[in-house]
Amino acid sequence: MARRVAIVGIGQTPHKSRMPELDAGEMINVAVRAALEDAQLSIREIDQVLLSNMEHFEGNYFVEGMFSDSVGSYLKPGLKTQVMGTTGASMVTTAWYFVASGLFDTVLTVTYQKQHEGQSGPVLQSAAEPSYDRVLTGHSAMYIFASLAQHYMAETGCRPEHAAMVRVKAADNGRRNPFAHLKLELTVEDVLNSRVLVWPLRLLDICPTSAGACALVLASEERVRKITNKPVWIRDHIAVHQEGFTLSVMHYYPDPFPRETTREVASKKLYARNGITDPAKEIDVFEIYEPSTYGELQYMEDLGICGKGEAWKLVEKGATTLEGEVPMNPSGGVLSANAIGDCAMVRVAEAALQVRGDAGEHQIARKVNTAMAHGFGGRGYTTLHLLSKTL
Amino acid sequence: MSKEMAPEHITIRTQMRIPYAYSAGLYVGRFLQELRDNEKIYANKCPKCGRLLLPPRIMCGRCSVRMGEWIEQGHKGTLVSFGVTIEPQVDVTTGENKKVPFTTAGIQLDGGAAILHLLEETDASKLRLGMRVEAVFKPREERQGLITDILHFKVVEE
Amino acid sequence: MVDEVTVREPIIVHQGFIVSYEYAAGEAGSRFYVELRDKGNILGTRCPQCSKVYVPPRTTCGACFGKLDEWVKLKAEGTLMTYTVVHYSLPVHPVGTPFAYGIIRLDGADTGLTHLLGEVDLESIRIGMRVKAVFKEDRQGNILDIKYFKPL
Repeated sequence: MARRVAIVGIGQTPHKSRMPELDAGEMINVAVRAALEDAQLSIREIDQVLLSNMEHFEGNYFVEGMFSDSVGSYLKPGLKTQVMGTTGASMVTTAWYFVASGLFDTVLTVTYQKQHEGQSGPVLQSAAEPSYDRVLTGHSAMYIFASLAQHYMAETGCRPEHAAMVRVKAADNGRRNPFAHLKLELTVEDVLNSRVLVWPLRLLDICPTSAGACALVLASEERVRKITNKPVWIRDHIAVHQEGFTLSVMHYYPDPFPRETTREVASKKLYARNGITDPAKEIDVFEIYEPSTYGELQYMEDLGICGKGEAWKLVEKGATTLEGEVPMNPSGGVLSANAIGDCAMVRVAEAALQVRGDAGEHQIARKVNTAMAHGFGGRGYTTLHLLSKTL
Repeated sequence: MSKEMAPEHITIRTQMRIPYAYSAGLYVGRFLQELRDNEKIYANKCPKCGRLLLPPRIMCGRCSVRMGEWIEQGHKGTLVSFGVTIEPQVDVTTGENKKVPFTTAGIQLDGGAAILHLLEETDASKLRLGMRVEAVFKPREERQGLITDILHFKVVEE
Repeated sequence: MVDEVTVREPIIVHQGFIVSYEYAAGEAGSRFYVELRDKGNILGTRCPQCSKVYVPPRTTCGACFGKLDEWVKLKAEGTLMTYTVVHYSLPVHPVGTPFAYGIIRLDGADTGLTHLLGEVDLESIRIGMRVKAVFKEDRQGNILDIKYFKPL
């Protein structure tokens, strides 16, 4: 029987395009101290320390060793899990397993990235299988998101303006989030006039590359009572992986043998076992990992937040803003900050802030009891974390 | 006198150059050999779900069974997605910029499998989903047993 | 095994992994390198709790997690704790073979500083030798601003 686990400490660094003044260890340390401070715990009270990131982006091998002093893992156990873009969320799940097992009471889990220290494009290319895809010059993540966008528009009647509205909302929310990287003032015209990268994706349709770190402290039910009166319970979580259609890291489209996406599989299972039949009403806020504007629309549908072809209509009537009926990504989302190794953990952190009512200016208007965080990994991996104020 | 200046941020610049030598393996190896020696494009079929995988693999990832027969795909297919890259990007295998523009495409081959490759046409306004395309192979002496033994796919009238 | 699949000869794909990196030396690293470059001094940070001096400097004490903001200047000489002599060549090596690496405990430091040993007969290096840093004339702000350590 798994013990119940709550998030008792949340720490982030502000996300920026470049952070030349801090090395990765110093940056990690900022997030760790913030999470410990938030939990009102000292490092001595932490039983296990987990540190991970997506290593090729900085080319730093064995970061769990390189930055062990900065993360506070001296003489403590710890593991590193790295599961594509879901790494940040997988690190929450890993910490959860340790606490839920009954073997550890308080676990610190940390993820980070400093994308400007490397070259993100070529590094991402190394996620393609070497003897086939990597040789093929054309391989790029952007192409996949672009082709998905083309198909979404063809199938649903969505127009580029709707994707632009998603970006404008992300900018509005990002400006209210002290930890977001991009805090732009944008109009729909600005997005539609930004330069085309891979049609139909324009510069403002896709996420930036950022530097930043995120840290969470998880505790067991017994410990939680002694630490905080604002725990955020991890009510449930799920991860669904899939095989790559070809060897390509993200080439799961076109699939002549289509079946449900991992998002559909994961969300249906999670909702069913939690008695959720109308997620848009029963879950108060969503933090999803949207690599592009069109991605947010598509993922909303896959996650059952609305019906097929309905997401762009919800955006059109403003339903996904902080004040709307279905608030999506109040933090500004990945479109506002993408330090790729910590993105999925930031989704959990931001969802947790919403549950606590601590999101400040980007707190949504309606009362939050339940939040859902989604993580995405290339090859179509999905993680979902369901958080709640009450058990 | 102001002693406090903004501290200087030192940046250490370096380049990682690692030469890897990957075994293509039995399945992808055979696929590449057929491209190089026979100008044949193969996929293999899952005996359980009937999916075709290109390049061929040993296992069907969905059914967890060994893949079955190898089926020739022909050289022609239908364009099902494409993206024209205009911004220069660095190629991790060379450290140099890829030549732009280039068009990545998903092509449904007449044999039933889908292939990810490049298109000859790099003007997006001239491309439409559903167009018929055909593989263009490099001359035999230039083929090396790589996916780029197919130079690209060109649009054909049908 | 995979009897129906045959390959005439194994296909090996030779491929580079070539990426340029630019690392922030960070708060502690930058101050260390700037001082090395501009003044030819070696700095460390001291943990008051543990009474230990870290060289190169860190901003967090690994042992007690304390913040390290007490900066100390160290003498550029110390004791050789251990060493090795390298006889094979790799592109990453900073100098040609054969050459020696040493771990030097500078006077006043509690950690070892890894660096090259120079102006020394490779056969007569001994643990416990007293050594001193030799600085380059033209310094850039990195660890090789120290050319090597030589016996005193």
